[in-house]
This record gives sequence, structure tokens and C-alpha cells, in this order.
Amino acid sequence: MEVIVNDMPVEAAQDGSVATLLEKMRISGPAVAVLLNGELVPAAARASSRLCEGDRIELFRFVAGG
Amino acid sequence: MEVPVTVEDSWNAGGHRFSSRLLMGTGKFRDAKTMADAIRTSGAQLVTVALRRLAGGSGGTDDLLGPLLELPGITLMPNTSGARNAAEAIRAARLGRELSGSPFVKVEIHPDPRHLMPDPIETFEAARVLASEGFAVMPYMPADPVLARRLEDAGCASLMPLGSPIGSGRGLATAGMLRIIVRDARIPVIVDAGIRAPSEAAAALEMGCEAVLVNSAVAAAGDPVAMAAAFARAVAAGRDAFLAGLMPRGADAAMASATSPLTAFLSPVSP
Repeated sequence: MEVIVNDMPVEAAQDGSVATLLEKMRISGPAVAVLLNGELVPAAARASSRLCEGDRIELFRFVAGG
Repeated sequence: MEVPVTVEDSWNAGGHRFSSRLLMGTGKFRDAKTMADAIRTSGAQLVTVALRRLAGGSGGTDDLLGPLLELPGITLMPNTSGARNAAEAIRAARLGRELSGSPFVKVEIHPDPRHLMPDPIETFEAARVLASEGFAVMPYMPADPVLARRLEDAGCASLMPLGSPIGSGRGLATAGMLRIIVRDARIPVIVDAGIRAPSEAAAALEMGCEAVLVNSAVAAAGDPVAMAAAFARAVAAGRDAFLAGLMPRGADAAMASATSPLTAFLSPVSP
């Protein structure tokens, strides 16, 4: 099935979770914050957060700033 | 014999105690090592970072901030830069807390990139909601005493009025308003934005500000690490001067007040 990650279509496993998607994208956990359809998914809830076709995932990280 | 007791001069925001009165931003440094060296030299304990969406499909490690996170004694203060309204700032603050584990958030909502002036209405609304969620809210704000009181009543941990526009290096252009805010505030006042020279940071501390937040002045200096050291000394000197109490200002700019005796120069001193 297809989900949208930061506006890009990405192939995800059926019944996959946020955690398995990040693993597949080789994104290390704690450095990235995740919104699923606009809602924050805490790191501890990533394995239990199931994905559905068309879900919108947004990934954020820290950058330099004042 | 009495032993003199040294009381550490510290300040408090959001229930956290800090000894350094210099807060540092992480933007504009030429590389991560210079940034980390400058921050270490500055002695800063509260350090701002920004949040951005990952570029499509890229990895999640951040080389820029890696060296920073290895510095001991640093508390991160994620900012909400890029937010154009309260809803976006609240969302950014929650993401920042998830990433940093820090309760501090620098609420920063500036809709117009030309002047980057903070939107007072959206800033107030975001601060109100985030304070109620337990954040230590540090609002970047116009130097407006009325807004300052409203933000304080909303539960902010500090007030961060601007000295002049972000990155402008125009110093304490708002000095008159800053004095009113400092006089009336019951929470720390931190000058954020506009500072170019260490003397301006010292001036902010001399007028009773609790701290200053500096970024461009260090990052864009010829030698950022040396400038960080200069700011650390200036902030300490300004604080010492505030505690010592400045002499009263003369009422009339055209009138002097002699420090040496003016009479009897050629006469014998009377016994």
C-alpha cells in the first residue's frame, strides 16, 4: 500500500506500523519526530501505530536556529 | 572568625536554575565544530534549535547538531520559527518537546520575513495554550510592556523582548521600553534579538535584564569562539554592575559634578 511521507509517495507493508516504516526508510528513531495525519506519534507508540492506505506521515528533526 | 559565604548568582526559569546569563542560538555558524566550540566557550546552558521537515527520504541523523548534543550541561530550547500562527507554533512546540525531552520552548511567530517582527496576538495565544500544557514558555515578543504583563499572567516562564530586529545588529533600540518591562516584570526578562556587540549585552544586564540571547553576533563574528568568550565576560560584567548599583544619572546634561576639590588650589589647606 502507499502512504505519503513528507509529500512523497512511499510503499509501505500491509498492516505496517510507523516503526516498521521508519526502519524501512533507515531512519533512526529518537532523532526524528513523527506526525501521523497531523497527530504527534510519541516514540513509545510507533510500534503500535498501524498505517492505512493514503496515511500522511510527516517527519521532523532539529536543525540549527536562533 | 566568620567565613564569607559565596552565594552563587543564579536565575530561575520554569523551575530550572541557571548560572549562565548568556543564552545562545545555533544558527548561521560556518560549521558544527565552530558552533559547538563557541557554545562551550560561552558557558551557555540554554541553547536554541529549530525544527524542519526532513527532506524527502533522507536519513534521520543530524550531523550539525551531533557535536552540540555531546556538550555537557546544555538544555535545549526548541524554537517555533517558521510558524505563521498560534496553531503552527503549538504543533512545533509539541514536536520539539518530543525530540528534546526539554520543557523549554521559544515561541517565535513572525509572519513577515522582511522584518521578522513577532505577531503579538498569535504569540499570546500560543503562549497561553502551551503554558497550560506545562511548557516553560519563553516568548520572543515586541518590547511592549502591556503585552509583557499579559504574557506573564498567561503563565510564561520568561519574557524575551527584542532589542532590534532579528539579525539586524542594531542593538538595544528598544531600551526605553525594555526598562519599563524590567521594572514591572515578576519573571525573568531576556533580551532576544538585535544584539551585535558585547557592550550591548552588558548594557542589557546593567538595566536589570536577567540574561540575553545571542546568535548572529557570535556566529557572524570574525572569530566566533573568541566573540563567545567576549560575550561571556560582558554579561558577567553587566550583571556585576547591576548588583553593585549604578550611580544616579545627572539631571542636566550640561552640568558636571566635580570629583576633585575646585577651590583653594593655590591656598594652604586649612587645618
